[in-house]
Amino acid sequence: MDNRISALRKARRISQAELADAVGVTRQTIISLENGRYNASLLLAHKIARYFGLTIEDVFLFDEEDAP
Amino acid sequence: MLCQFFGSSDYGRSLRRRRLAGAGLLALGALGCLCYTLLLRSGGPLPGYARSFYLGFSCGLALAGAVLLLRAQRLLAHPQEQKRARVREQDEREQSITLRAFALAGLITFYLCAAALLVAVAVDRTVAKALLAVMAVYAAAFLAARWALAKRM
Repeated sequence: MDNRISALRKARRISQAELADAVGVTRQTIISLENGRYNASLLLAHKIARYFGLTIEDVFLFDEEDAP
Repeated sequence: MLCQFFGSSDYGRSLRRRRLAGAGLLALGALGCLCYTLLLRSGGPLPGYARSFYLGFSCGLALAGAVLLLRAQRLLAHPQEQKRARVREQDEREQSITLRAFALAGLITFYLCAAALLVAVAVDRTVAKALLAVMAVYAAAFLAARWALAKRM
């Protein structure tokens, strides 16, 4: 699943460590999310979206092909 | 149950429980060492390798307890370190990796036991029975865990 975390973070001049600290995960998790190697849980997706003041759909781009 | 005991949402409480568990393990290990010294060191009914095993097991238990106790105590005394440890332990990606690693390790162990059983059955019946018992226990534990989890979800 694609996401706009990196773009949103850079636009707001927020470091990966700051975002990780704000949503309660490690910096490595943010790196993995940005690289698309890890898909966030619903809870984490909600925390990240709320941090940016957006909805989950605005941050995480759901692709029909990702569906099981 | 262990996860619920050690993985409380209140990390400070979880650390205090770990400290208690560490002290318990340390006491148990020390008791084992004491029993070895008083009852087994000078001989006794057990063979040498069994005595060595019990001593090693007791020392390992005491060491693990001491490490658990000291780590929990250190984290309770240093809030910054505690925060870092909490994030590391409760990070969902780390937890996901650990769970997958457990699942993979279990699967590999099961298949290796099956492969070893094919060899052992021709060499040593006792070893074959032990391997079969391990596989049966694993399968039973898997089914029980699956049933219990399915009821909760």
